[in-house]
Amino acid sequence: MKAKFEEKLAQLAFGDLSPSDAKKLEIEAQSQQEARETLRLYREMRDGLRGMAEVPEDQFSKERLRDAILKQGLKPRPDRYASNRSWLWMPAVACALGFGLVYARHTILPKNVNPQIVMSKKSLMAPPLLAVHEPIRVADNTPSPANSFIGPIQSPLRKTRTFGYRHRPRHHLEPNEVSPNILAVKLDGDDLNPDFGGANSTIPTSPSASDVPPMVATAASTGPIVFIDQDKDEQTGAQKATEVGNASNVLVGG
Amino acid sequence: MGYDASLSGRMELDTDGALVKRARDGDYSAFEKLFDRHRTLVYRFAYQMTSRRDDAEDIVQEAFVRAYQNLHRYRDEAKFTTWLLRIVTNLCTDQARMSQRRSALEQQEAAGALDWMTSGETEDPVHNLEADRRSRALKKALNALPAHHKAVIVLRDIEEREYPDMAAILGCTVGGAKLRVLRARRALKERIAPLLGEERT
Amino acid sequence: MYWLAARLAIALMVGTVQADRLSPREKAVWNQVKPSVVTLFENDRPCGVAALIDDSGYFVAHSSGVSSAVPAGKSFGGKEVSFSVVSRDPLTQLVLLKATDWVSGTAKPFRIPNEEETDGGVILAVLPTGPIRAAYVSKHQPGVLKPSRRLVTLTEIRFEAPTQAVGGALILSESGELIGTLNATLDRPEGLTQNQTMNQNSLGQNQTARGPSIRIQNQILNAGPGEMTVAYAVGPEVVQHTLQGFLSSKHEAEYAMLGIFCTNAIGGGAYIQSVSPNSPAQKAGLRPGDILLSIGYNQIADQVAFATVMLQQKVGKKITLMIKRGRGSLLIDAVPSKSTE
Repeated sequence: MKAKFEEKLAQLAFGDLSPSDAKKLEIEAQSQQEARETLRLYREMRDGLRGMAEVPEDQFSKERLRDAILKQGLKPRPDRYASNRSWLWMPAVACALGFGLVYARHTILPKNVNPQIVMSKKSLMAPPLLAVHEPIRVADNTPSPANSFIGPIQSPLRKTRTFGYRHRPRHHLEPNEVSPNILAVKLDGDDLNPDFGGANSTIPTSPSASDVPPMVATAASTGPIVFIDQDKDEQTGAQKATEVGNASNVLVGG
Repeated sequence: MGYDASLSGRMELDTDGALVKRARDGDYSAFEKLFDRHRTLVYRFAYQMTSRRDDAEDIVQEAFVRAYQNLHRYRDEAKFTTWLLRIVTNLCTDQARMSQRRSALEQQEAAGALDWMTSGETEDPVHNLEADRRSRALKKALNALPAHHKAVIVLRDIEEREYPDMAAILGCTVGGAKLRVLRARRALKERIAPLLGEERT
Repeated sequence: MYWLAARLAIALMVGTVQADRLSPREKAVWNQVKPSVVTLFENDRPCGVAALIDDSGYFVAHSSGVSSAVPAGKSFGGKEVSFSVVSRDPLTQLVLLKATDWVSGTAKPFRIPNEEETDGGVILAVLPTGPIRAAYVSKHQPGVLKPSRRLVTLTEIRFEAPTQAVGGALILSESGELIGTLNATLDRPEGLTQNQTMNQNSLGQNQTARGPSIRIQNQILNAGPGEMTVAYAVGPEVVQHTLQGFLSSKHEAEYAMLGIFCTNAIGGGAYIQSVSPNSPAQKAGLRPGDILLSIGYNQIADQVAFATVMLQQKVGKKITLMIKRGRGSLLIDAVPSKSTE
């Protein structure tokens, strides 16, 4: 039997043909033994498959989903700025290299100084601190291939500067009473560091640290941070700003 | 007038798109509403693909976790259920590819048949025997199909999805979806024919 | 950006730039925006500058120039303008003023660019007496605003210190767009001149003037005709948010607050050091020691992410927080309230 004819028979059996085409093909098939047999087989298949539509009930709960989400957390999302402007790093790197070369030259030949290339360490602090993200609009507009769009998100990760800061917890805390706003409580110790109490203990790593890749590319920087006080500087009439070279112990409010 | 406006406002609040927006804006309970609404759809498909309740539940979990993690990628032009089924289809296909680890297909079928039998009707033992024989043959053939064929059969012939819907789920054209269905049915027929013959003899 | 500061310093040394002298292009920009700027007066003394941001007569100024509830002003064309204070934003210290009897179409309101659009270069700082030239050093300087301790980006500028007060000056881009207002100036430690402070800051604490380039820089900066002032303005993104709030129907800038103070947590997240009493965070059940992993649909990798995400939240809009407490994880719903400081 020709493949094309068999395709038609399958379409007839599964009801994918128009009524007029179906009627014509039905008559044609009845006159051939092999076609009749094939059509019968396809119809049996169709009935059998439709009969499989019944499934046992699931026992999946919201709590299980919450646990899974808490355990896996949110995956990193590409920064729209970083992704759109990754090419901008190339000239920056080129400039940095150029600077390095020129600086080296000046170190070797101290008399040929060109004041225009004098730079401070500060000017090399490239990454923006607070690239504002709009998560909803991160997705690109091109349709993604069926098998690739749910995979783990690759680079570029959001580049956010951190302060390379380590600290220890001040007090031991137990989860006691549960607030009415608390939706789920998960207490399984296997994915966490054992100790969260003594003076020498460290803060347990988040599950995301071990289970999923970190969301932010941590470009550890010791760049200065500026504190702006409410007090006025009498000479300038502006608020007082003080610069702290080491960003440790910086408390951020919100 | 005010009543109508508030009613339509409420309905607006409850659409999938509105719930996705709320979830993206940080309200997790909106995502749980989406979960409540579509969990059966996801579970049904996963069950048909895996034939095991526990595997299907694992896929439901993974599908919703991934949906949550990728919610920012969902675009309103696609139906949320289509998007969700796309995730599940990919998950099931991947899982089937990886299930070499459970290469004992018989074990899977046996468990599937057990689930099936426990949930099936038991009034007429003779009828059930015949139905079960065919069902087992069909299941065996279906399980032996490559995952991409199986997914197509489940979507079209078990879950009875329309072609445009399937095209969106599979990420192809409507014509492409029809072609995939034809190929999958043919592959299934080629597998079931000898099985039915065996059963008959 | 930094070389611009160096270039400006060199220019100062050779005397080609005077703070009160502008290039023809800068003069053209200033003449273009001048009708939209009003000098504020207190007891007949100039104390601040206001910029028109809406055709209906809404102006914005820094709070340092607005101590009275009904400030008086004068345009650079000599026309007197009286104002009423509509709203004050404690975070940016910006004040929304409404000019009484303002005739629509009198001047063109300032355009407020976002961070992406501000390219840097030579800019203008508009003082009550007029504009001076300033150098744009950085638009990504991290800064913590007290007392709220919000972490924001600051625009850092430098200019030759003028004789009058600079606090609250309008900061304009080289194309005449409003970037913000001058919030703060770098405080000089005891016994150091501004020049020395700047050198120390720009070279880093552990670096002494060893290399020839650095020596040259020291010579340039110390030999200039006037002292250099290092100043900061709250970054354009935050200013934009505030001005959008000012021009909304409520005429108010709102910043959402949970009432927590965080540092970086090892392994990711923001470690909650303290929770303010009666704050939304306390009401929701957050405690010191909790590690914040996500706010709403945003993962929190560190305190910077926490600060960024909090600036995007809306007052009164419920968000789900994912936190780690001890060995467990929790989802907690919280409703941010309006920040009052």
